Amino acid sequence: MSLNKVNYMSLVKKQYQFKLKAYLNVFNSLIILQLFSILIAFNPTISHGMSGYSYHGSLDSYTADFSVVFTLLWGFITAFLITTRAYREDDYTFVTNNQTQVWSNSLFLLTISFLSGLTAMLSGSLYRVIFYFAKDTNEIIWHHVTLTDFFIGFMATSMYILLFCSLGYLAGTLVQLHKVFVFILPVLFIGLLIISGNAGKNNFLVNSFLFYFQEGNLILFTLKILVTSGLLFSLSMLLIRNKEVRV
Amino acid sequence: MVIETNTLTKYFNKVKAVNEISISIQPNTITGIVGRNGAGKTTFLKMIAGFLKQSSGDINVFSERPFNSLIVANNSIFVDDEMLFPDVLTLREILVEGNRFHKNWDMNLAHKMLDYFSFNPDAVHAQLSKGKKSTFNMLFGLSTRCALTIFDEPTTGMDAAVRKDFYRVLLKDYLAYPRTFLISSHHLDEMEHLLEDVLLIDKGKLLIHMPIDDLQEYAVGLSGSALIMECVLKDQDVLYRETINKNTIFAIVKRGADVENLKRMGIRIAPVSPSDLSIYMTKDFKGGIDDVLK
Repeated sequence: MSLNKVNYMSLVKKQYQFKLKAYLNVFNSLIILQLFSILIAFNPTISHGMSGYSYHGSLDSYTADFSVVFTLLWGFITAFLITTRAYREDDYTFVTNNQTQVWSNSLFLLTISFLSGLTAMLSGSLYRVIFYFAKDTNEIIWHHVTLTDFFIGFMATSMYILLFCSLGYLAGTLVQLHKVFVFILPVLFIGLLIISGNAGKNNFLVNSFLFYFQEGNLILFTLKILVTSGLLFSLSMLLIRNKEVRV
Repeated sequence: MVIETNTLTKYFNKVKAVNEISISIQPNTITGIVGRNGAGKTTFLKMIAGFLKQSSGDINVFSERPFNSLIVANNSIFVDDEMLFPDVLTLREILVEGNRFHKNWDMNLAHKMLDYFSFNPDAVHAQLSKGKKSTFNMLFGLSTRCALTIFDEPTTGMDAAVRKDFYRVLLKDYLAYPRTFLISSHHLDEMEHLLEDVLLIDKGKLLIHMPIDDLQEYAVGLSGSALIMECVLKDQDVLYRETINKNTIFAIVKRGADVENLKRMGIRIAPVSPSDLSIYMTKDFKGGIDDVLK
């Protein structure tokens, strides 16, 4: 019997298409989270009260940004999840190796970043509609959103989700390599927060945050995120290359 | 050669699971891998499939190092009862995915077997019973028509009727589409008619690798009175001996003795089936299970 040759990229494509079907259930948790975020957004984030001699007024601010925050966390957890044993071994039932697996996983995560970025933005619109009918007042000052605003918001949100996905994937990969990272990573994370909190404004951590979050140019921002998450996925690929399966 | 290993060794935390195994396996053969529980069969097979990396020694599958090799992944399938399938896909959808990944996939065979073993095509793999899971994994493995098909204890949980069907469909499919099979099993007696070669592993070491026909002729069982047996066994290659009672000794020796002469001395001679031979050869000389209860 002659051997079948393998085309690397076409295998990655097959795995990617497989994952779009097989990992469909990750969207269940996304929908629940985004609906939940709409619910809790009915509490005002900021309240101003004013009163004078003959008048009394109040201004409550509402925002649907929770949806974005939740989606970022969801991206991190989903990426973490698909590095775990059950997901990893699914691939080995079909055809894979350690490298093509990271390729198809990162393409899958890129896709869900855009999809969840879109639904996160759209849940903002849904929120406005529900808000309009639910709140018993006419005095609503809408923050106007143009199509350009929407697009910029969508791209930026998707890129943030991708960044969180690549961080989650790296964290998951480390935990797969050694269980001790389950303890090390949270300690490291909280430790860094405390250190940067104490160190004042001009430390490495704050500066690297500013490097991403203060970028005003969408194209530059997108490039920065794409390169960063590309590096993070490459690091995951490098780390996992000698990992055995089904031990 | 499809598989070649040279002093292949695998440690798990300083325990040698596979200990310097050197074999070569010809293409288009069915080889049975037998041994006790924990003998190292699964570890050996997983190294061939490229799931595990050897600690020392060499291994080549299709002239490639199997670990992380796409050629090996693409042309081999490893079937056992721990195979994982995505839990959102139905059995029918799993077959569709199999077809996308494996070039030689036979969808006709897959569907016919799915029907024959009365699976609900819309069922989910995780909800199948133990025996049904094994049956499905087996039909998945056969349908891939991979050049190297590895079955690691494929019959776990299958009832006798399904096992019989499995042996039959495997043999028929092998004759129609010759390829290399490795099958580890505890049911050597049931599979004897399938196998061409047998690989007997004990405590990580290779004891025997030979054609099953030779194995059938490999040894004979002798039993007789203790005094005569003691004399006779001195000149024989003894594989196993057991004192039945004070006056009787049973032993298995390599064939080659003058059978007629032994018969004249009052020794009973019996053939030893490969299945029995593999049990006796891997038995610890600690007595039997009966001694545990004493």
